[in-house]
This record gives sequence, structure tokens and C-alpha cells, in this order.
Amino acid sequence: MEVKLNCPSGCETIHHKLSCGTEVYILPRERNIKVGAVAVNFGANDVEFMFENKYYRMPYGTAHFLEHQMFEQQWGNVSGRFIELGAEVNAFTDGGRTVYYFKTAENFMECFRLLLNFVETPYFADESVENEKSIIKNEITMYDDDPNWRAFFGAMKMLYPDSPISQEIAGNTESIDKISPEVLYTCHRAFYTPRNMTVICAGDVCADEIITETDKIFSSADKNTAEAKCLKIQPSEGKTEILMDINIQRFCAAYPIEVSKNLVKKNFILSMIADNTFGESSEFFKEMSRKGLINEPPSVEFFEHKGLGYFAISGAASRADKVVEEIQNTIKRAKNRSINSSDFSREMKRLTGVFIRSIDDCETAAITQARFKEKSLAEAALEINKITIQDYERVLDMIGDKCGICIISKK
Amino acid sequence: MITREYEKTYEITEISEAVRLHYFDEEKFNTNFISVIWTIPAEKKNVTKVSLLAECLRLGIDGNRHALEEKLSEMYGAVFDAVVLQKGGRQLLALNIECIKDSVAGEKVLKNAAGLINDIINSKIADNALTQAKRRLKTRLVTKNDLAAEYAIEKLIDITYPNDSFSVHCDGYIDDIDKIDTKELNELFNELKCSAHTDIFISGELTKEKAMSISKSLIGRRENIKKLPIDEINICFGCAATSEKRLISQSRLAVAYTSKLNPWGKDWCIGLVLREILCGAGSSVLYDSVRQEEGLCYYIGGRLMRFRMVYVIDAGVDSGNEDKTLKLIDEAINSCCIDEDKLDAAKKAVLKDLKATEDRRTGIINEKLNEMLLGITIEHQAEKDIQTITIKDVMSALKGLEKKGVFIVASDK
Repeated sequence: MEVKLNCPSGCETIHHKLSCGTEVYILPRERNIKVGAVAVNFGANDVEFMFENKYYRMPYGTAHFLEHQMFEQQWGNVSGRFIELGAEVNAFTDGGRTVYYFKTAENFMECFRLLLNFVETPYFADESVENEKSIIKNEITMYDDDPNWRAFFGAMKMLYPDSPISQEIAGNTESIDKISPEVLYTCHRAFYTPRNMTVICAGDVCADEIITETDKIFSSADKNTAEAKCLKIQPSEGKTEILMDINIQRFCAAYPIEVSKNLVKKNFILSMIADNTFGESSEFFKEMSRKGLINEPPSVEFFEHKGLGYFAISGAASRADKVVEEIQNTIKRAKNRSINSSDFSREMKRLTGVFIRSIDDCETAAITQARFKEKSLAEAALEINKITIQDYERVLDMIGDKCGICIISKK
Repeated sequence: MITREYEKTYEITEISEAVRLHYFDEEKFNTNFISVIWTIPAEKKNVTKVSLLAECLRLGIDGNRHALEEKLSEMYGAVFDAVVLQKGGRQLLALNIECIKDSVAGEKVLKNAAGLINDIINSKIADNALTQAKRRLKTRLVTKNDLAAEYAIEKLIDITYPNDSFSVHCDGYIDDIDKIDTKELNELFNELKCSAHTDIFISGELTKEKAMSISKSLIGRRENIKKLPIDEINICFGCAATSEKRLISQSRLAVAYTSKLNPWGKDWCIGLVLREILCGAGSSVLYDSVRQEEGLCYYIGGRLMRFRMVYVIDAGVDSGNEDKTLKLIDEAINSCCIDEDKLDAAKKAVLKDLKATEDRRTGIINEKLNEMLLGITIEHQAEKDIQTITIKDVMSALKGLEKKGVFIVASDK
């Protein structure tokens, strides 16, 4: 067991890798609520994979569907059991992972055992799978009415057409219909394996008990993990417009980013780039708000998984086309002009504070740890101090030149 | 156990007329927190001004958000915000600053944070700030209406409480924005600082003396202190029902059920337990009947609005399923059976939520504000009250529910 205490306050981490391959992270916190989480390296983008010498191509939305269905066990719905124990359970799926987690003030170890057991035990009845289809179709329709969501995926479809990364996490109504219990069982067997899962606990918890229990439950599980296909797709570019019943235009401009090692450090630097280039203190925002084109700084998202990544800038604007044009110019200028040392030092301070503040909360700390899968929060905090201006410039250069654009306008 | 650990070090001190310092000596978080909150009645003629004032203050001194953001970054990414809140028929304007502790940063961040909030409180609203604030507020209000789910709930409150200050939109009205000038806004700001009920919350790695000194520096001359009028409830007669069509893929419905319970003591706990049974996270009566059994929706949720003790239930359903869903909600409520297991699970969930409140600064502050505005002066033993809740208590609360409003944003695609 590795205990990391020599790090900024609040980032202390206990890390242990089990013989079955599972990484266990414990984040001690003096809080009433304790959090337990299992992060599975299987997300919406992992639709093509090799498993036991066989190639599989699964329908879009499979990882998310599987997440929903895992809550249905042979003995009933998992949520009810957690509620009986005084806990609340939830899950989410993104492009590269599925995370199951619970929050509780009591019966932590019972809840923890329940979490590991249900994540490990698939049970997909025909009737339940069919019923879930209508629920998920409702979820897809709900997001259809969200202009920000539509703008983001519209831009992604321009940047990476026909790629899993540009598909909605939940899939679409046609792909959902192709999902069967067999599809779900295959994906579970292929990806829900000990070495493809990370266990994270945060709060006033006992590390020894967590490690022993995880070892006991996971050591008997299947150990072969599928190899998801690396998404080597050349980015494209283009612009699309969608009409919706809205009052103010939305936009999204998505750029490709080169994939690289040390994802944690790169994520920190991308956060600095996002703030320095498009944040409230940026020249871009100052100019755009002076012209009355935007009133809130755009939000910037970045993500990288299995060979593909993006850096997407989105928001609401009165003249979205003008704002997008300026985003493109700003990116070009940023890449040609280095950050000055005073701006860099201010961004470093901001990054340090924002990181430490965000992980003050057990749930956020656990979710952040799930994202930083290869490094503990303690190591991640130390990475911040190692960032140099040269690193900043290197990551800025990793943002590609092509751009996928989507504008949502009033119908 | 609900520790109410914060109560052990919590002290409330009247530092000037109707100005209270709420001090918590706690070091479990990595940050220090200062919040200044002014409370006034929510009145249609004033709400937009207060909302605009918040927008101006958010921009920092002279409307220079750029300079403000640079300062906040230098303070290790401190967060400053000016927000408008609504609690029943009251409008609250809060200025908050949160920064990492000096011991974590290795430099004096708190001193700078206190200085910044002080400078902003003592500043005047400039024309440049108001111009930006007007644009920002207009965009925010328009953007809010683009989201059918939020819109449905706001309209539901409008039709259910048509003559109640609870239905006044505390984030303002677009039509009133352009009528407001800097003179009016500065007068309002001065009036708030001089005569509004003020609560200052300070917590973190600092002594009470230090907190006292910071809070005194934030307060100027006090005069003409206005007593907060009683927050009277004024609800519609019968059940108000309206629908609107919109070019959206999914219809959104919002339904209001009033309760006869009080917003304090054991009644409040019963209300929370009932909310959990009807529409709590995960498994609940409405989740099971509308989503799991009928597959009618992905989202169905509910909240209990404490200052009116009204349950607001909302869901997104396919076009054509609106009436069926409303009927199912009604049936689920009217035929709801509560057994010991259900009750026990709901009690546990409520206890967990109350404990979670103690893990968040904003949770603790919100609880203190609610208690003050509801006139609760005795310490509430919530855990004890929850433990004594019986099936009879909850069934009686359930029987007391009355449907008072339905608002549908119907899909017209």
C-alpha cells in the first residue's frame, strides 16, 4: 500500500494495486458522508473491440444502456437495496468510462460490498431490456430539446463524422433497438473485469477493510479484458446550423487535440489554456462582451480517449457566427504568441487553488480520481508544480487547425 | 448521527442594528468563506433592480470583470459571486467569496479576499457596469426560458400563487431592465446597506476576533431599519391548470400539491420523509409507477418548497402522454401505501441528506438562513423527530395533499 501524504492539504491519497489488477484509491476526509465508486474503463466510444480473438461492433449507446441495466438484478432493483441501507446510488457514462457510485453516512462497508457485487453480476432479462429501451428513448428525446447539447454534438459530427466520439452517449433510437441481452452480456464479460476497473473511496473510511474486501470480491472474477479499438480517424471540418424553438443563438466550435501520454498534466494545462484564452479575464471575452456579442464567457470542454480528443468551445451569443469567427482567430493567435510569464504565474496559482478547492468535496474528489485513473490525486497535485511555459506551449500546439462548427438558431 | 458539529463553534453576534455575524470556527475545509446577505421583501417593483445590482456587483469595481478575474486568479482562483436568492416572499442578495486557506496557499489570501469584498461593497455602480449588467441579465432571462423544464416550474408557481410574492420572479423581468438607471441603482444599494436586514457568515481558519473585525469593516452607517413584513401565503382558488405549446421534442409537466404541514420541527421532517417516498432519488412511488412500470419518462422528480410547503413534481414525457402521466401521478399519490420498510428507507434517506448538509458550507448557511426567516429560535432535534415519525404521521400528511396547479409545456412537433 502506498500512502501519499507529502502533498498539498486535501490531496492525501492511499493507493494500492491488487494482484487481480484493480487499482484502489482511498481519499481520507473528515466528513459525514462517505463515497464509494467503481470506475470501469468502458465508455460510449468503445463500440469496436477484440475479445477472445473475435471482433465485435456494438450499437451506439451500448455502454450507457449497460449502465442502466446493471441496476436491475435478479433479486430486484439495486437502488432500493441502497436506500434500505441509507445510501443513494447513481452512475454515469461518458465517452471513455462508466462510473457507479454511492453516498452514505452509515453502513459504508455493506454498501461497498453491494456496489462491488452488483457491478460484477450481470442480469439482463428480455422484458427489462425492452422496457429500458423506452426509458432511454425518452432520455434521448429530452436531450434533443437542449440547445447546448445539440450544438456540441452538431460540432462533433462536423469534426469527426461517422465516429463514435460524435455520437450521443445514449446512442439514437435506431441503435437502441439493436441492443439485446446478448450484446450486454458480451460487453460486461469483455470490460467489467478487475484489471479494467478502479475502486475509489472517499471520506472517513477504513483503507484496510476496503482493500481486503475488494480483493475478496474481485479476485474470483474473469480476468480477460477486451482490447477496444484505437480511434485513429482524421479530423474533418465544416459548419452546420440547426433550427430550434429558442430565443438566443448557441454555438460550439470543436478542435481536435493530439493524444499523448500524461493525461493528467495535459488536462491541467488545457484548463490553463481554456481560462487564459477564453475565460473572464481573457482578451477574447473582454472584446466580445465589449461588442455586446456574448455576456458570459464560453465554456470549454476537453476530452481524450483511445486515440481521439477534442477541445470544444461553446456558449450563447447574439451573433454566433461572429463569435465563432473570433474563436478561430483567437486560437490561431494563441498558437503564434506565447503566454507571458506573469499570466503564466497567475494561471498556475488559479489552477492550484481551483484544484484544491474542488476536491474538498468527497463526491467531486472521487469523480476526479476516477478521471485521473493512472495517477492519484496526491501525484496529480504535485504535477501542477512541474508545469512549465514550454509545456503550456507544447499542449497549445497539440490543438489542431481543423474545426467543426455548429450554430443553433431560432426556428 | 447528525452531529451538528458546526453548532459547537457557531456563534451569532449582533454587530450593529439588524446586522448579524454568524461565525463558525471550523477547519475541516481547505477554504475560508465570507458571505454578506441582505434580505428584503420580494416586490415586483424592486426585484429587477436588485437582480441588476447583483449583475453589476458580479462585474467588480467599475464594471471591470477583467481586472476582478485577474485579482481572483492571484488569490489562487478565489471565487467571488453576487447572487439573488428567493425564499418564499423574500428576496436575498448575497455577496460570496471563497478562497483557499492561507496555510494551504502559503500566503495571506484571506486578507486580500476580505479587502476585495470590502472594496466592492463600498464601491458605486458605474454606467459602464450597468450597461454590461443589463445585457447579461437580458441574456440570462432569455436563456432560462429556452429550457422548457425550468420554464414549466416557474409558470406553475405563477398560476398557483398569482397574488403571492412567492411568484414574483426574483431574477427580474426583461421589460423592466431598460427603465433602470445608475442613480436608482446606487440609491437602492445604499438603502440595502443602511437599512436592510443583513447577515454576514464567516467561517474557516480564523478567530472570532478576526471575523468580527472583517465583518465590522463591511458595515457602514445604519439607519431607518425596516422590519421585514410577514411572509403571507396567498394561493389560487381551486386547481389552476394551463398549457402552452412549443416546438420541442418532449412535453414538460409540472404539478403542485400543497401540504398542511408546518415548515419546522417534526412537521418539516414528515414533509421530507413524504417527499422521499413520493419522489426521492432512485426508487420512489412516482419513479416506480411512471418510469419503471409504464416507461413513460426518463426523468420524474420532485421537490418540497419549504417556504410554501408545496410539492412540485415535474417530468418530461412524449407528446400525447401528458394526461396519462398526470393521471398516473394522481393515482400513485391517492393510492400510495406506506409500510414499515418504505418508511424506514425514507427516514434513512432524509437523515443522509441532513448529514450531507453539514459537509457543505453553503448547506450550513442555507439552513441557518431558513431557520431565521421562518422564525425558528429553538434548536431542532431533527434526528430525534425523524425517528419518532410513524406510518400514521406520513399517511395523514399524504391525505392532506391538495393538487393546486398544473402547467404543461406541450410538444408541438
